[in-house]
Amino acid sequence: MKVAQYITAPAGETPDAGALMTDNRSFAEGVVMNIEIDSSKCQGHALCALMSDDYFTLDDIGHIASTSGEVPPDDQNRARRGVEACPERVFTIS
Amino acid sequence: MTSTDNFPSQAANAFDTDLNHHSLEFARDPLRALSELQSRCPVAKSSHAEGFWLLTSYDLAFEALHTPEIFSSRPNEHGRGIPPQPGAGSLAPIDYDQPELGLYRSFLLAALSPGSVREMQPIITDMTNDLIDQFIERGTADLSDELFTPLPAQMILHILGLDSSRWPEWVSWVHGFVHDMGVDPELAVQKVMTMFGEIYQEVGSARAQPKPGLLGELAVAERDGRKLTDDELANMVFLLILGGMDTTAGLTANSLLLIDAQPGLREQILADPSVLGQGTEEFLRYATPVLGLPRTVTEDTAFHGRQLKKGDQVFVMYAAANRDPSQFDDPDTVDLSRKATRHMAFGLGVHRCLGSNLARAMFKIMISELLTRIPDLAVSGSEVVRYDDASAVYAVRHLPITFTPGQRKSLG
Repeated sequence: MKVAQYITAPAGETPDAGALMTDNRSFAEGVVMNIEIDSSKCQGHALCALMSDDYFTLDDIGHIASTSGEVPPDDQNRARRGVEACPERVFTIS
Repeated sequence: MTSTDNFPSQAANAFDTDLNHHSLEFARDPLRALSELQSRCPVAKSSHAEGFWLLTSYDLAFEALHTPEIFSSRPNEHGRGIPPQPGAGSLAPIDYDQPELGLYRSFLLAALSPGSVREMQPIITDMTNDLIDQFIERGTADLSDELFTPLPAQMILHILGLDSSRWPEWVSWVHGFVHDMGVDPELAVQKVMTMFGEIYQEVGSARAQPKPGLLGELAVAERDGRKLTDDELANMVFLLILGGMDTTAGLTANSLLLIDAQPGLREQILADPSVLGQGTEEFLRYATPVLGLPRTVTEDTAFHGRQLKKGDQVFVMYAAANRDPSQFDDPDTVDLSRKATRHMAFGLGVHRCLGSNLARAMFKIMISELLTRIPDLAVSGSEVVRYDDASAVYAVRHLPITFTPGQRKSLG
């Protein structure tokens, strides 16, 4: 299946302790990746943009501008890096 | 009390400690004291000062920072600080809760956003290289005095639209507040007063006629249909200068000491300075300059087996949380490839440091320019002098280095 090539974590990449409050199950099974964004929790750390190579975008005060939705297969790895970077737990992957 | 299970019988008073965060002993090795507390008792009470609580685990610090209705940023009736410091009233926005907090922050967020800071990078780089030019032909330097302190100081004055060439005076006033309050309180108060006098003068002139820079913008800006009062504006400028100066200097100096002690870090940065993109977060985690900040309990509260009383002071120790093994594997190792972005060096929750984007940019530029231009710099370890009081900022007063002399970039 086409999505499968995007779902494998890069070799040697292991999640940090405590980093996985997101549910990666569906991700690992190659199903569509959906990201819920609770922007009310965003405090403007701007780390989701930094760590996702700007998959997530910020508004002019540096808070999250991206909205909830499905992640294109090509972007799933960098989106996941952005999700895991957030210290305020703004994101949920389903 | 309900959940004393974590603290078995031998430790009926195990949550008591005599930790004095202003002491020389603490300043020498704060992380050791905090880690010891974290493993023994993540909600501890110090008998020092008027008594205060210390939160040292990641989860408890996270919870407190995200429960501002119980853990308020308003100082209690005795004043700000543990123990209360003379010479300053509540500073905006740091000493406020919602809704004032949000209002004050709304005046500042855009000026310090990632986009605004990106536009400042060429200026930061020029300032950094000008400072390095001053000592690169000499073969010796004091990095605290000649780069890490002046760069952030010049930069925040520049952002505000103040005369950045007067940075030494501002630094001397700020140091009175940050480092000397416990050492020479009278002089410290005098310096704070001088600094406020200077700020009120600038506020007055910015009110009188348009002035380029953030102070000029704040003097005319309106939110919710009103402008800032002179007192609010002066408090805000005081805090911007305070926060802008010593914290980044502390982070950069603490990190340079690590880079000097661990040659592998220097090799990685020299081989590819872009490792500082993610690596900056690891330095923030490990070399956290603001060890913690206090909160005030708003009502009697049971908190993880302890009974907190209304008005109690609670020190939320960011630096300890950043070394919590339950959050960070192998926390006492510096690993630039670690995804360490969930550290709380800038605090978490509604008080996230407004200068975080600027601090990151200044840190990256200072470290990368310094190592690129002076790759063989060696810290004169025996001459490094830390400040005697780490309670506000864990930082380095003198950081002497030696190196092979190099070339200036500009003719100067």
